[in-house]
Amino acid sequence: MIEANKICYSIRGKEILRGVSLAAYPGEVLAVIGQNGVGKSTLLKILSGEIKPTSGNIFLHKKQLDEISLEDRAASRCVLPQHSTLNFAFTAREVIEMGILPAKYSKRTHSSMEIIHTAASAVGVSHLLDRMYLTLSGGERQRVHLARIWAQYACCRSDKSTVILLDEPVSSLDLAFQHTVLLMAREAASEGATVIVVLHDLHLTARYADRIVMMKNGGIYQSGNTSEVLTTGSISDCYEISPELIGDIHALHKQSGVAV
Amino acid sequence: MSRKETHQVPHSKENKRISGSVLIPGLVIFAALASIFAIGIGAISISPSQVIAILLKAIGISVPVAFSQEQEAVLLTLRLPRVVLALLTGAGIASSGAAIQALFRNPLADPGLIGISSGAAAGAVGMIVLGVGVWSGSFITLILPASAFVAALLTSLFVYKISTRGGRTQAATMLLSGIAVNALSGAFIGLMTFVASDVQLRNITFWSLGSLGGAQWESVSIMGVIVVPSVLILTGLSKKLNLLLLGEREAEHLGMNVQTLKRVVIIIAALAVGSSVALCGIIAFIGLVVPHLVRLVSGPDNRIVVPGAAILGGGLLCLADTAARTIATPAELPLGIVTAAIGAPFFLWILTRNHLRGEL
Repeated sequence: MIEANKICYSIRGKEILRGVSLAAYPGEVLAVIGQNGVGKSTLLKILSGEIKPTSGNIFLHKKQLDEISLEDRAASRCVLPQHSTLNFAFTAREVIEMGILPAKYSKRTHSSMEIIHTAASAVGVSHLLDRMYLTLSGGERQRVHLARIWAQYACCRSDKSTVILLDEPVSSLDLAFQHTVLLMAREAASEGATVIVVLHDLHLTARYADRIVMMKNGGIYQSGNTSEVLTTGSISDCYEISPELIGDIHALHKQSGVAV
Repeated sequence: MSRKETHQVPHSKENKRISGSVLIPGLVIFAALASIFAIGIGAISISPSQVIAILLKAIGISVPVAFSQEQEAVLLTLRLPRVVLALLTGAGIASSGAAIQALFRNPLADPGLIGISSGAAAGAVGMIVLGVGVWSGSFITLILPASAFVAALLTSLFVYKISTRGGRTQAATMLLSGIAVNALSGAFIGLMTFVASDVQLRNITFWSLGSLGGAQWESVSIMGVIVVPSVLILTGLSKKLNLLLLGEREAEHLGMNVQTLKRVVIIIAALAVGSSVALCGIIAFIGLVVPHLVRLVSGPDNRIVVPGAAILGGGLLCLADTAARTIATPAELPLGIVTAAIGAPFFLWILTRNHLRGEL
């Protein structure tokens, strides 16, 4: 599990996060939604340890994040950043291989080759393995990085629930792959992982998240399950639009996990 | 919803790489041949078989190949130290270049371009003019590399700090700050030239264009003590350098201590570049061109690029030095002229190539 306790973050006098507290538990997919610039990515960066909060604490598996070595973090927590820059002509296979953790601090039951192929076929990049990463399209690159995260997930130690943090994992993906990736997240949750995912598409959120955290102005505006959070009132408050809810959003959520 | 993969397009064109197990032995053979060629060429010519015979005799094995005493003396006291110094210097600069490119996560980083070499030269020149009067004897051969190292270290830290924000290095900022550092070092070297005595002046000229003419076994041993461990350590770190190419935060998420790695790389690169500048002057473009050549044939995996660049860098510098000392005989061209004449067009080629692919 992963827990944030009264996280505040400001940079150059600008307050980005004001007292955010949340917890995500093994077996669940927690979606973070909200307008652009509301602090979702910053929250994820703080949860991953990439930046330090101005005040407040992060607990990974009930231990303060600062006290956990980078190796131990890597063996129990996988992070997909929103953007990645890679200027060198690695093949997709080599990029995915980088996700495989050194055996000295991780645990893996399969060979590197098996892990790479399983991860690649899960996100549909098996046919791209020998292509240069730099020649791939934006969506293909995103899938290669997802495969890298899945390779890391395959190496994580099984004694603790792996925490998977995904920052807009489906932003460049076509419709079918958006579902593929979120289904993978659900599958990982059903294996006992804790998944936090930043999303913009409320339909996908309704369909795949167990719980939703809706952010506004650097704080949590509302949190709870789909039918509690995704109401016309909260959506219009949070996004400053007037939405029309068509159909039963709760029923949509119930379908999640069913292949369409 | 899941989707079956629909197309299997072969992309053999992109993937013509030579594997490390072929490339590295190939490069070793190239460097060995380059060394034998370089040793044999000069005013007194020594054939390859004579070169091998003399070298074998030096380690106590005699073979039935005739050679004169003069040839033996020239080889052992003049040419061999020069060739070994070329191999070591080339190896140090090229492998540091590869490591610095990984550190900046940019294939255009080069100890010369970003100002590390000229910073080191400024340190050494400053020591010649302002400080060396205080010391004498063989102590100077240690003080000069030391001051070049400190100056190289400070310069690399400075350029790195300026061009990196939030873990990302801007290529433009890096190259522009390199220009500024080069200009500043140039101005300082100019000032030192202005106040220097005649003897000091001759030493300073040597620094600005690079030469292996001062090679003696003493300088070879200093270089060896620094370069051999540097190349070994950088090769040992090469897998981590790969992760660094992925991105600092990505590397950290994969369990790597990025800050420590960066410090180690900067210190080692400064040591290798600093000592090479102190002993051989500024040798431009080797650090940029050589890792690129290795990447062109075997891909960007640093496990091959770092040791490959070390071996190829040594071999190429050996050939460049041979050209420098034979093109205009009996005079000797400064080595930096030869490496720049080959390296600068190559750099422009990389620029246009990257520009065409929109990667700068």
